Formats: sequence, C-alpha cells, structure tokens
Amino acid sequence: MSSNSERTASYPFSEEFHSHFAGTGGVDQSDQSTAIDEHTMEELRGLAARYPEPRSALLPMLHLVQSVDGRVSPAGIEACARVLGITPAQVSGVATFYTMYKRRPAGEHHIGICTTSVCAILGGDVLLDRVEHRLGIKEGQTTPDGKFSLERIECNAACDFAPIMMVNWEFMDNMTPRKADEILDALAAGKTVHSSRGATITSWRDSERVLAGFPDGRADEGPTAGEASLSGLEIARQHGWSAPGPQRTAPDTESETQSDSANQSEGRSRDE
Amino acid sequence: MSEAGVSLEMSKGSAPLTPVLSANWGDPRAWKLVNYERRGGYQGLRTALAMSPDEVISLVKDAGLRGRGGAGFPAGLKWSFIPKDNPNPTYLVVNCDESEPGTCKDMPLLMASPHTLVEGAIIASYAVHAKMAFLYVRGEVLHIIRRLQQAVAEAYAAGYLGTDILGSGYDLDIMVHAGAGAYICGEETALLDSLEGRRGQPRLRPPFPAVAGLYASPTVVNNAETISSVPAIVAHGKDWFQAMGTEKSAGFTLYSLSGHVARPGQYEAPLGITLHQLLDISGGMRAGHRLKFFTPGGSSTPMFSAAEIDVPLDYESVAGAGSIPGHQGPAVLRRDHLGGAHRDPLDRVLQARVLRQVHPLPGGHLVAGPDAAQDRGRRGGARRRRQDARRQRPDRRQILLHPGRRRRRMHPRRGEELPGRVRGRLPRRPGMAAAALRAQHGLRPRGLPRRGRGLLR
Repeated sequence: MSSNSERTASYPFSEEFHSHFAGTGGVDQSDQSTAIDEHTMEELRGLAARYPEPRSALLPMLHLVQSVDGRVSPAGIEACARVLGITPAQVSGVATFYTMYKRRPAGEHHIGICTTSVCAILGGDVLLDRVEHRLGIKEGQTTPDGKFSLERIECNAACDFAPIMMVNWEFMDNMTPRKADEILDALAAGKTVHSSRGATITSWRDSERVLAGFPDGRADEGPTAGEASLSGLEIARQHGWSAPGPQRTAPDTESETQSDSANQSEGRSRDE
Repeated sequence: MSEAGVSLEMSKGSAPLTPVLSANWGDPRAWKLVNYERRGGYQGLRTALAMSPDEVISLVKDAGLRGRGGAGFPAGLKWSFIPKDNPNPTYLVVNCDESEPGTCKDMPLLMASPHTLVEGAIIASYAVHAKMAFLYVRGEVLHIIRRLQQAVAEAYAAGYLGTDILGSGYDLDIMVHAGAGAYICGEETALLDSLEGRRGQPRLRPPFPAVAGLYASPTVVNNAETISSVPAIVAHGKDWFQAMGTEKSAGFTLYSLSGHVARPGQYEAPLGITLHQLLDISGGMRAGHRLKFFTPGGSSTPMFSAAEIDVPLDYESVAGAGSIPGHQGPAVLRRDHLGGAHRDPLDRVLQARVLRQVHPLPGGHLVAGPDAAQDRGRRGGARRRRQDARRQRPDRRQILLHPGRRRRRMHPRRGEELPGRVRGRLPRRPGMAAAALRAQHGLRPRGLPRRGRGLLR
C-alpha cells in the first residue's frame, strides 16, 4: 500500500499491539500460540446462536478470543471463521478494522488515555506523557513484564469528567498526573483499585469477556452517577425547577429522595 | 457570566432546567428495576400496550419528538416509514455508540437509569411491530454495558420482555451488543454493518434503513436519548411534552457542558436554551478564562464564537446560525485554544485513519481536516499556516467526512473506464463524481463493502 511508509512513520514502534492501523499490518502470524480449547469453541458457537444471523456475533466472538488469548490470535481467527462458515480473511478484515482488537498481547491492565479535544485542552497530553514516562513505554506498547499496555484513545464520551483515563475500559475520571501515578502504583503492587464510575479493577481479559456477552454479575458496583452528571439535577433541586405538569416524579419524590440518600444502606437492603 | 444577568425565561414559560430523564440519577441504585418502578417506571409501557401500535406512532409524532442523535429527524415520522407489507421481520436498533467529541449525554443516562432505555425500546419496538431489538453500545464503556445487560435480564425476569409481554400477546427480545472501537459506527448505516459482523463502513442511501436496514430488513435506528424520551411522552402525553421547548423543537434534552467551564456536567433543559443561560445557571467559565469558541453539538459541527452565545440551542436556530445541533453537547473552549491545541485533537478524530471511511452524503463531501502532508506542512511553515487561515477550515466542517488520502480510491483508477458514456460536466469533487457514476451504473462504490447476500454466501 502506497501510504504505508507514512503511517509507519507516525507510529514507529515495532512492538505495537494495535491491529487497526494499516501501517502495522494485519493479524500477527508470527505467534501461533493459543489457549482456545473445546470449551471456548462451545462458547463461540453459543454466541453465534444468539443472533438471527450468526455473523452478527463476530464482534463479540473476537472479544471472547481476546479474553482467552490476550489478543486476536491466528487460531482465534480460524476458530471464528470455522464457527461462522466464512473465510479467515473475512474475519481478519473485521478484526483489523476495530481499535479494540489487539494484534499483540495487551497487558494485564490496559490503560487508555483520551487526548481528544476536551481532554486535550484540560491536560490529556500531559497525562499521556506522564504515564508513558512512568511505564517506560510509548503509546501502543506493552511493558516487558506484560503488566501494562498503553493506548491513546479518542473521545470516550466522558467530556464532563475530562481528562479521563480508562483502565480495562473502566472510567477513571478527572485525572491528574499524580492520581494516574497512584493508580498505576496500586495496580502494579496488586492492590485493589476502584473505578470512579464503575467496578473494581480486575483485568483487561475479564473486561473483554463481559464485552463478549458473558456478564460477570458486577453491575451493582460503583455509583449511580458521577458528580458532574448530577450538576444540572442539583441546581434544579436548589431552585425548585422541574418539568411542568403531571410527571412521573410524584409530589412526595423530593422527600423520598432525601430520605433515600440519608438511608442509603437501608435503601440497599430494600432493593435486594 | 452570572454578572451578565441573562434572563432565564424559557420560550414556553417552563423552568430553565427540566429534569425528566435525569430525574432519578440522584437516587441510590437507580439502575435497579425495583427503584425504577418505584419512580413510576414501566407505567409508560403499560399505557402503550393498551394502545394500538399506530396510536403510539401518532402520539410520538404529534408530540414532536425529534432525533437526539444529531440530525433531528422526527422520530414518529421515521417509525411510520416502516413498510407494513414487507415480509421480512422489522428490527429496532438503538444507537448507543456515543463517541462524538464533546458529547457525553447517553453514557450517564445508561449508567444511572438503563431501564429508561429498555422501557423506551420496548415501546418503540411495539409501535413498529419489531420482534427483536438491539442496543448497540460502544465497547469502550464496560460498566455501562454491565448495567444494560443486567437491566435487560431484570426486564425478562419481570415479564417486560420475552413472550406475551404483560399479557398483551406481544413478543420481544432485546440484545445488548458491544461494539469494538470505531468512531464511525455512530453513523447509522455503518452501525448496521458493524452489527452484521462486518467492518463498520457507511452505506450508500437509498435504500434507507426503514426499507432495507439490518439483514436487508426494515429497521428503525434511533439514538439512545430519543428512545429514552419515549416512555415519559407515552406516560404524560403530548401536551406535557410540548409545554417544554420551542414550537418546532419540542421537549427537553440533555445538554452537556464541558471544557473550561466552572461546573461541567449534564443539564437537562427545554430545547432552545442558550449557552448564555446554561453558563449563567451553571456558574460560568472557569476563573481566569474567557469564552472564545464553542461547538454546539460535538466536534464535527461547525464552531460558534462567543458572539453566538445567545443562539437558542434548538434544531432550527442552530442550523440557522450555520451549525448543526448534533448531540446538544456544547464544549466550551478557552479563548486561546482554537488556533493551536484544540484544532489538532479535533482533526485527529476526523482523520481517515481514525474515521476509516469515505462517506458520500447527499449534502456533499466535506474536508474535515488536512491530510497528513498538509499537517506536516502546517507545523513546519508559516506559508502553510497562512494558507490554512485563508481556507478557514472550521467553517468548512459541514459534514463528517475526511477523504484525506483515500479520496483517490473513490476516483476511477488510471486506465479504468466506467461503463457507458459519461456526458456533461463532472461534479467538482472527484469522490462524489465517481460514487454517483458508479451508483448510476449499478456498481458498488469503491471502498465500501458488498452487502446483503453478496460475496459471503
């Protein structure tokens, strides 16, 4: 491809795990190892059976391949192709299009740092520099011990929490370089880390399994909403503003909500 | 801003902030079915199931609900386009692939109150006779996917999904489908391709999804917020909905403030509120910052300067002022940012290698950013900077498209002849010309995948 040289020039790291940039080629055939077994094949077939047309399951299936192999492996491509009755080339064509599919093993924890407009003006690039420095790798690379991989991501729909960092696709809101350091230190030391709007951090592979459509039962962790999400609601409450006329938030809502926040633990036991 | 003392009067006399979708976000564990029901959740569904599907469509049409995904197309009208005599099954696809820089409204909604979307999806599916609905969520938001997966499971267990829903005889299945990272899949036809397990590349239209969408079947594609607004409309009626907003842009929507503002976040307000009012309500700009530019609806929409701070942020007014309402996400930028730091990150999203598409649209092609060669030049030379300034690129950001280097791939290759004789003057943009010609001659456009029962069977 004529444009290869240019793209490679802007992403000069041979160890990249991305598969989606043309300059880095397709699926990595040099490493044929795999952990896909008959159980995984069964799950892949199960995914295909969930959809009216099996091929719709391809994206979830590739997520599952990543959760097993830590990347889109050649064997994973073969497996998907076999289950769906399409060619491996067709599967790689899809796998190389999407940014979440990795051609080389991502780390145990996959770090994403947003440097798109709002995050950028609020310091996303500084954050990325700092994390690159801290981990000793560049974006698109994995640390030699396989603990972390780092990616520059585009807008992750959390602009009101900018700048953000994603750890295994869980939100880390309102980041600063110091906070990022603390999180990385804790992860490196194997300590428990909570996402600011999500569950406890486990691993990138666990996250990929949920994305494949196998819930891990941890939806109830984390808050209802982040602080910024509630800005408008709080101001409306202070001023007594609400939608007009008959509405679903009946007259006693205000007091109910207040008592709810006061007795959160009680509310929890009632919910169960 | 607050010292400016802007009037907070809304055009229809409603309050400046009208939390409906966000009303329960402050509740503990609002994402659980039991808490949603305690707020009156799923009452809208019961009301809808007592009506005929056509009545539901008329109600949404009369209420004037318009698409919250950017284009502002009337939702009820879109639903009414679904042909009744098509033998293929109808599908509802909800676009939860929010990824436009500056927009962040759907994700907090789905995290805090996923049942609002699930209820809306059931009502919308009922209205268009769909037996299967898909919630396509971008893959990079794990916890939101967890909450949606759980909400759907809870809805099945409570009899809101599955067969014979609430004794109405109506059957529906909903699937939560995670994407895998592609900005362009927010575009509805690209999303459909992605959902079919292909590369997410936009399709040429016509045919529109209402006629041949998912699996070449009639398909309604709506934004998550649009669908989430439906239960409240069904529960409270069109008059209630129209008591908010403006004449042509009825109702409420989530405005997302971000950037150099004192208090970023979600502000649910009647359509037609201005940035001036939003800033006044929320406490203005950050200390030491003065507003210079803002994008009224995500980074692919033309920018507004501080002079346009009083433009009502509804569909007509924003379009009239030369921009696109997009996702109602004003991202507010500090005065010195447009020239340098801001523009590059914006362009990076719109670059071909990120966007990965060439997208012919009826409104024409648009150059969203410089190609790589220009990019290098701009960094290097004053001459290039002057040229760029002359070109006023932000104003040319009409529609999401970055042909970049791939522009040529839409052009007939050297030595290649298109079938038939081409007469007349070619359109100015080679990409459009080639695409139009190929379409005219029944050829698949270059760079776009075959669809339906093509190569793969």
